[in-house]
Amino acid sequence: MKQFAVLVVILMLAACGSSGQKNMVENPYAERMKELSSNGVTAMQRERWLVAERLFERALQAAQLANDPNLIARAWYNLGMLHVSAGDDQKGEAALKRASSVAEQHQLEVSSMRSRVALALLLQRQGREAWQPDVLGSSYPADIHLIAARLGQLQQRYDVARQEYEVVLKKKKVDRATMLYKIEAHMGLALLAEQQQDHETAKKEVALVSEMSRDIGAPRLAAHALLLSAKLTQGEAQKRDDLQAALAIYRILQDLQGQSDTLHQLMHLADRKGDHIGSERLQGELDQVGEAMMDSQKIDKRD
Amino acid sequence: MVEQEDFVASMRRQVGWFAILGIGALLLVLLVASMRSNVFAKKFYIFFSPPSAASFYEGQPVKFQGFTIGHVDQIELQEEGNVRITMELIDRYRNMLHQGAIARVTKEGLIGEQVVEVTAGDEKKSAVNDGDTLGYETEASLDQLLADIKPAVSNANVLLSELASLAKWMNDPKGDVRLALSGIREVTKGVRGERLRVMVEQFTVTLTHLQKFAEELNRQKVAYRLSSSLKEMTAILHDIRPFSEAMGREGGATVEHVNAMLRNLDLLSKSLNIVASDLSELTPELPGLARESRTTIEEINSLIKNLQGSWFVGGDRGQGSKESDAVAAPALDLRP
Repeated sequence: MKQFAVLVVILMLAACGSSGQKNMVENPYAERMKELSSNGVTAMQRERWLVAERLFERALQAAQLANDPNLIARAWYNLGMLHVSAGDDQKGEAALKRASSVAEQHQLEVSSMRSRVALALLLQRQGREAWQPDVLGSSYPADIHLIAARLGQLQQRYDVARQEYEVVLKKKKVDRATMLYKIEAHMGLALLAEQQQDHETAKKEVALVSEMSRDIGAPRLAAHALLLSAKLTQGEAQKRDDLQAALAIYRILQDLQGQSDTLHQLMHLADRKGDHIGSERLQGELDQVGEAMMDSQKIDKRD
Repeated sequence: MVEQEDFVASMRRQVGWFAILGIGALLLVLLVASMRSNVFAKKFYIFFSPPSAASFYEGQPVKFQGFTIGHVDQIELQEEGNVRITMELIDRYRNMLHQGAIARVTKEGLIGEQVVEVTAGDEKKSAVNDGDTLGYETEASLDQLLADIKPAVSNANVLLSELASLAKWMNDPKGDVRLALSGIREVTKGVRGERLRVMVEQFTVTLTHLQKFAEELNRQKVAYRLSSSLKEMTAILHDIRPFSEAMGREGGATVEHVNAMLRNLDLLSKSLNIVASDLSELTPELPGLARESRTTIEEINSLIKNLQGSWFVGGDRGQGSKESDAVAAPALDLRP
């Protein structure tokens, strides 16, 4: 197996002549924590929850060994976001509270704000009483403004939401994470416009989401955009094309909720057209998806 | 006179008791020792036939789940040329071994002695009988291996597919790596140092073997192959370092314009990070994997880090993204 050797040769070629010596002696545990966290974030982006969980847990251990409150708070935050993304709100809430507590105890402003708004968003989504922050200003990292924007949107404080989304879009970084945040900000603005019946703006924002998702590869957001585009489009053929494209993506991603939403809309279209055979077929598919959702809920409860 | 006889009788009694107690204690020690070493435990015999007797010796421990349950009793070369090994096992463990159990040679730890390991077999089937012959496995099959390394089971398949897709990407004649490679060859034409060009040529040849990659990984003996490849990699790292240093010195600004072609190495770096993490999950569990392999994995990680700071891919590109890379993306649920 020479493949690994090949990969290493490439890396060696790329790494050769590495720029300058570092003058600072670095804490190896802190370095390890950052490395594990970075790997965990990548695993999370690929929705490999178990791998990400192990990496974040190891990152937390490394942060504790480094005895660095900032890293410990970040490690708890990452674990919290992972659990929430994987659908385990209870564990997510506990981890976010730990992150918030560490950050506040050590007066870590950014970490504290990040965990507080994330916790508020989680509570708001669960229909519980949540903190309502004012507009944050533009000094925080993009992810914090994005969470604050979504929180404002769910709390129907639309001006706050719009301003926060705009802050995200003005960020100048061009790394993948920031690009993803920008796509999410466009998607948020599209949903906001749709809520306020401003369909033209919504369509423009959706088009941007589709284009940017294609550029950097964000299939779930692309599917959401197609679903919203179908809602906003008048032409039935275009509507069906969008829905079928969204359904294909949701199927690959095994996103049962997405499949269910899309199938409902496709059925509605078929009914309007008087296509009873098509409607029955879609109903069959919808039943299967419904059963799968019930099964996954049972598994979640058993866990 | 009477007192003297009483004294002698008393002394005889004391000597007698001393001798009896001494012998009794000795017998007790022997009894305990023999019970602990299962000398009197009921035994049963089972057989297996490996292709060679090279890794076996009489008295070699036989283990089940890490516990010694017997030893190799006899090694015979039968008339037809087959090797037959008899294992003497303690009968109280017989009910734990079921039909379908297999014997294999394994190492205790990285540098431990070789022992015969017996698996449990199919628990739904009956226990093995005295005189049964077990199957023999030279190395863990992929399935068995995956069952043994439970924490990494969920990763293993993903790992294989990710490596396979990486290989496909790298082997694409129109792909970024190939283009980058031809770029390197072009720019190194004017660079002193024949050895550098030879290295690049060798690199090209190695790339052509990538097509076989996915197939090899999917075949059995994956652990062994992994181990060999990592060893090979360690050796290459040692060989390559002087070349890369030479390239750094001599290539200098000439090679700088290759930067654009190598931008997509970011993708490679990300995937390798995941792969390296998976490997570090797997490594402690894989039997017989050499210690230097772990060091190599650490080297990969440090190389990946260097990649981001390398002048070759555009100076300190990526440093600014370090913070956002290490923070998990928020869960917004932007479903319409």
